[in-house]
Amino acid sequence: MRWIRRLFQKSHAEEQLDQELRFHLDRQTADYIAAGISPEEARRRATLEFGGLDRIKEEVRDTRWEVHLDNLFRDFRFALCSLRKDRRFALIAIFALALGIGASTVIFSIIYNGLLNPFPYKNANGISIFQIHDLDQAGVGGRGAFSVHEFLDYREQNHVFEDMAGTSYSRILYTHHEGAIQLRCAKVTPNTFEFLGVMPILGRWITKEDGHASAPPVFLMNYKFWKEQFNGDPNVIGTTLILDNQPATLVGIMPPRFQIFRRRCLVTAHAEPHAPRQQ
Amino acid sequence: MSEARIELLRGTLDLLILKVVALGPSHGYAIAQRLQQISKDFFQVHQGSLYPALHRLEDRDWLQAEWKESETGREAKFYSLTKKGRRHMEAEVVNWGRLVDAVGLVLRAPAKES
Repeated sequence: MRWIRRLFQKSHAEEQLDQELRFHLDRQTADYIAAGISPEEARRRATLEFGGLDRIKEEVRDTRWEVHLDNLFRDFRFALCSLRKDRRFALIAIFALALGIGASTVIFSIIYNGLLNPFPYKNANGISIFQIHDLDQAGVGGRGAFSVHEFLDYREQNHVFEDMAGTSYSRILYTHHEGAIQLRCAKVTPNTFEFLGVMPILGRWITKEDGHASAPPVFLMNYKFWKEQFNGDPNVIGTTLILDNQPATLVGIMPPRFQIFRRRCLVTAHAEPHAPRQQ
Repeated sequence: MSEARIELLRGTLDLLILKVVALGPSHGYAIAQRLQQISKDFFQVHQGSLYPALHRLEDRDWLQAEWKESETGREAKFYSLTKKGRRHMEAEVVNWGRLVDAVGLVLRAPAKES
């Protein structure tokens, strides 16, 4: 395999080509001198005839690559032929390839989801969950759950964070024509989706308008639940389901990687500042 | 050498080079000189065609190259025919003969009396 050698000893091959062409040039010059032409004129004429060393070198290089592409094509055809001839070998090769591709895909997705991009949310490094802690008390830890008006007060008086979103976990009764099932749900403040910056794969997300007390109740569904209960049917968007004995409209489906709440349904919590406060 | 002749040459240059090299190992300059002498100055191979062709033939393993001292005492790259190259050349010479015969037959076809 001359070209492999040439690939690794590129400068050597170039030098040899240069020497070869120069030899030709010098011989031509010498012959002209022998024929009685003055040395300068001989040199000039020979160089002129040569028409540029670099151009010829370029042409020689071109022939090499042309040949390699040709060889590659021939090797490829030969490989196809031998695969067709020996079915068992072909099967083993296909199996090995499939296994290799499968394994690398799995490893890549583990690394991607686990290490490179574990939290697919907007500004994931800036998201914090805070707790309140009495400084007079020894020890670590504190309370991370707040009542609705505690949350609203924190949000009103906040000047540390850009925005705050609240969630409460609950079970909701989903009534359908065959009976009822209990769903683990998350009630979220209407700004949650804007806060996390994840688009639904279908439909829309919950907006601030959905948070108004007068707005009709809407909810989002996670990917798994959608696939399991509705076979991934896109027409399910816009239908009304009975959740906790109240009709609520399904407005969107979240992507598979949206798992922050690990809940099947995401329902609007009417926890806006204008919501009635119980003092 | 006219452009028309270059065009004619392009497809057959490889065969001519193989034939000249088959007469004895030689370097590029000598190959060009011999081609010119044998063809009585009909073929004046330009370096821009000669060297790409030589390298192409070497790549196909029809020629092999060796650096040796030339008649002037200076190192030069000498090409010689490989077994594979000789086989190819012999096959091509037969093909060429057939081509010439066929072209000749067509060109010598008598005009029909009308």
